[in-house]
Amino acid sequence: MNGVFCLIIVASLIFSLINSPETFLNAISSSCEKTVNLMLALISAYAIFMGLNELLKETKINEKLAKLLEKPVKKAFKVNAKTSEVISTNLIANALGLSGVATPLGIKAMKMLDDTGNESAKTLLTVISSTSIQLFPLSVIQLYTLNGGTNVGAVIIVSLLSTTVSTAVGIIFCKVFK
Amino acid sequence: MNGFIYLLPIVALLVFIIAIVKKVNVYQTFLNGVKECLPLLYSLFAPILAVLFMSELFTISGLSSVVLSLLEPIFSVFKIPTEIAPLVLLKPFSGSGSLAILSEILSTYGAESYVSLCAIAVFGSAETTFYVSAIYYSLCKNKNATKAIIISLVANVFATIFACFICRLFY
Repeated sequence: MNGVFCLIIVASLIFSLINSPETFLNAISSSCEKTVNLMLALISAYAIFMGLNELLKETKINEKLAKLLEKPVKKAFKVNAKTSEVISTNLIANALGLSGVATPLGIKAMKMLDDTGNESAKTLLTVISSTSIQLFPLSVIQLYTLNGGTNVGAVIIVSLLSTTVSTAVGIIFCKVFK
Repeated sequence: MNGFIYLLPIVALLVFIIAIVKKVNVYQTFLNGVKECLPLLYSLFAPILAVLFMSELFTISGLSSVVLSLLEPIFSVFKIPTEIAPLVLLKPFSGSGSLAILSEILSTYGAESYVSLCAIAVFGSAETTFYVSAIYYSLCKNKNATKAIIISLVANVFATIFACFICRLFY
């Protein structure tokens, strides 16, 4: 991110010095104003859902659901039962949007795979996580509604389809390029 | 499509009912979750401001129209609207930054526009690839994540093209 940030800022500044030096002050005020507005929008996107997420976590539904995944995971990743349990819990937490639960488990699973030298499983787990498997894109739905959108169904459908495709393509590539 | 308005309330209701059945202290647990929102926003403030500042400078300096017109031929081959190019390019690097860009797109073009739906689909298709890889490999002895990153990025390109295709079906 550092490289991207430096590149765009420096190039934009040089460009605005040549074309319109007065735009710099505009950029400062408008970016701050937009940030404050977005922070307010994000409270409505996150606060209630984080409360619900915490409830979901306490009910331990996520751990129950993870049990169902353990066998397929064991086969797909070629791991032992213990690692499979950690990976399953991580995948379910990611799917439910419990990122606070998912990330530490992901790191733990990666370490377990690393210790056994299972490089292809490490790649697979990272690819699955970074191609996103979230079922309900809650913050996006809320931003969409705040901007006057009414067709929540379309948002859920396109998000699910696109994340399914990215994850599926990712898994296929992992299996093809072992 | 209208059935979806029932989905989220039903899921919320289910979570509450199961929590009550499981004898969770619902009120206190709910508060504990909500409380975490402020530290989260606190941590998001700086990256969001930085990215919005970057994107404002990029736009009003006139550089963005030059860069976008250069990218236009590539994006039009895959029928990806150029308006979402900043989101597509930033997504692998910064999660909070791309959230800020998404919000910009939604307010500029209107939530129900074709461009916005594409942006939503692209946003949903992936996580912050470089960040996820860095975090996941952080405790490993073999930290070579190149293969995972390349596969994720290629998968994201496929998903972006597919997402814009799906969105066209809605219009």
